[in-house]
Amino acid sequence: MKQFFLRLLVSFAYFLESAPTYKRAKRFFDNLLNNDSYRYKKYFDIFMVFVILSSVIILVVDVREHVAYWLEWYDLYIVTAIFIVEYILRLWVHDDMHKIIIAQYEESEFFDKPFSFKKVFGEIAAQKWEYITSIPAIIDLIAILPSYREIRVLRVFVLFRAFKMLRYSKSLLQFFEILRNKKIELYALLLLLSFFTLIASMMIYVFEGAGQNPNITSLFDAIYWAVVTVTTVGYGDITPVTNEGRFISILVIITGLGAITFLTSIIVSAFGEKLPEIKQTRVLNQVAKTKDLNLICGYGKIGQIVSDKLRARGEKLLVIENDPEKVKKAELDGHQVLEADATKSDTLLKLKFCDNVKSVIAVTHDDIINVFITINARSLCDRVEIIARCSEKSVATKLKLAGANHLIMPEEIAGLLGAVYIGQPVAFDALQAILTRKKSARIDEVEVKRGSFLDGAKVGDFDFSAARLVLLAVLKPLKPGEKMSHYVIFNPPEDTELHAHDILVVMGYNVSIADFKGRMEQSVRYQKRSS
Amino acid sequence: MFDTRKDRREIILFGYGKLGHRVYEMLSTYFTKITVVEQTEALTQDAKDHGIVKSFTADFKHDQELIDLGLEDKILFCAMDEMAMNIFLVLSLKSMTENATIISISTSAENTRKLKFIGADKVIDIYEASANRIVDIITRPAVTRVLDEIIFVDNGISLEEIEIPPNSFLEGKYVHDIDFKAMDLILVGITDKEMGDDFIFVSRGIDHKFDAGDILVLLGESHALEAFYKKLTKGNG
Repeated sequence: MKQFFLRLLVSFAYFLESAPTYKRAKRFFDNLLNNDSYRYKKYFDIFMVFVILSSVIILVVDVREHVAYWLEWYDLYIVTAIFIVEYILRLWVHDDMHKIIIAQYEESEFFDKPFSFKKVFGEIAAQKWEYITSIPAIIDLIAILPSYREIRVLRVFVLFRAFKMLRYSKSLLQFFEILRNKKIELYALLLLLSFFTLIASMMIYVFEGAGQNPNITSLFDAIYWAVVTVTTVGYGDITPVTNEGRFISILVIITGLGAITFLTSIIVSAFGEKLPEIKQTRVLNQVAKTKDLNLICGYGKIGQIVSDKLRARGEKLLVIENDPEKVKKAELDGHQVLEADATKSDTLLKLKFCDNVKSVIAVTHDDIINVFITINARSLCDRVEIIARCSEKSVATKLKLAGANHLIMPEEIAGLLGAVYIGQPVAFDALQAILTRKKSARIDEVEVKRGSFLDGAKVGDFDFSAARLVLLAVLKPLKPGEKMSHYVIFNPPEDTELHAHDILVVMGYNVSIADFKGRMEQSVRYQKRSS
Repeated sequence: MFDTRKDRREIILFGYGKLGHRVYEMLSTYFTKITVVEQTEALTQDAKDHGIVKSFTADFKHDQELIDLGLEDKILFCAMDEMAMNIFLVLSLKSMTENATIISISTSAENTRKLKFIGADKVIDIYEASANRIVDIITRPAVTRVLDEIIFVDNGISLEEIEIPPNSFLEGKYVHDIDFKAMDLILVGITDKEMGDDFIFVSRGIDHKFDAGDILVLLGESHALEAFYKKLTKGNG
């Protein structure tokens, strides 16, 4: 019988281990309940907040007034059912029972030992118990209790339904998390205040409790007075009548003010200390949902200009910097900043690097750090574009080896621009104007769209001159359908055939280029409609 | 650049530190008449060690030492590592020359403004230029690729400016009369003498009349540019 049960149990455990549907379902619910970065968790949280709020409102209104039958029914069956299902699901996804069974079975087979049911069930129970006794789980369980209307006292647990909100509100959780870091200071303050309140209440009782003050007839009255006074609430229902009592009042009021100031400063300093961390978490959460991100590693002179210009061109960017002063500067400049070390893989992995990041721009002032950033980025993702700055020629080869796609050598660029200017000042100015778009004439790229008027046409079929454009070059994919690598045909002959995904590099004024792009889009739409 | 024009002007490069050294490397691929001037003996020696025969030491605070270099009609390239020294140098050079072209390196928008204010003909902000290149790589990759092929890659394609000599075949003709494409060239723009030396991009669509003294900015392969240059200068002997 024992052997039969063991076989059944182990077979079932292996069945679960190899069942993709079971695994998928468990992963889905685990993500839904626990994974903050899971796309659908947000909707689930909103739904639960709605259920909790509606239930709390119904229970509170029901105290004095009779709520509609269907609302009672909703609260009694639907809400309770949702809470029970949620509780069971959390208990289920907390750990994998079948893995414990498999591990124990394999261990017993390997060492040729008898399978211990006691150990297995003990371990399973211990893991489940760990969840059941956790504070959120206790709150969840107690929140189900107000549903038993017959026992009215259980309605007090309606509060726990409100507490359940904590689970679904990150800000509330964060508030308690911050306070937890100051628990020693808070305990000390609480202890001091309790001690002082007790002394003050005993003193007022001694001075006024023997009939001098008709409102103080017991020690409880004295404690009540002390608490009301020390917290600066001061209802005024009990006031001291003797000089000694008034003197104690003065001491209690001053102490109360001091305690409140101390409490405020503890909370403010706790927030102050945690603020950078909160900011970082917020930035990470925002960035985790952003695609085509440009990472600017280093907020020095080049980093600053690149960030401003990329933002002006509508690109999404994140500055990574580990110098707090530069982080502050980037924040003041209005950029999203992560205070972290870009040479560490952990920093990049947090950003879902390969999924979200389009380019890495390593522009710290230190060539060696730029090499490290390049190695880090390339080792994590093949397709990301890496642009790295370097000053030394010897580092340039290392950066290429490390996987940088483009090198930026400021001193070389300066020399080259100087040479171009000396040789051809007019051409230099023209080039500068084109590059900086200062004179509205610019060079832009236009991709030939599938089904557009240029797809399958020849260069000579379109009169670029009449469209106030100059066709400088055509970039053709190295392989059909390839979008990343191209070869260049300068000043293409009239009979050059154009196909989808070819890129035309044209020079013209903004209005001409915009018109050309518009024609391209329009012809694609027309083609789609007519087909 | 055409060999005929390559050595037309002499360059005096001030500075052979980290920056000046790299600037010299780039300039020397295009020009041969380069003199290097440094303030410190050690850096002048470094220049000599790199085979630069015309390298001298001068105290930039003494005007006479600078005048003795023969500054007129030359390109004066200030590439000192210290920005304050570049500004001081540009100011000194401006006060002692009339026909020299002064180029200076800058490292910030503030320095660029100061350098332009004191009269530098061209200021190259190395960080701004680098940042522009990074931004172009990201936002306009195809354009950057094409410009790289024109400027950085030695593949025979270049952007050239050619002054129209008197009595050339272009004189009196209009832009639309000339088929540049048939000559494997792209006309980017013109500096029209009649229009007050303003650069006009050809894509603006105005049909300009060519005159002697106009400067054409052309894009094309070296042989096509060379052929055009020869054709243009044929009538002048």
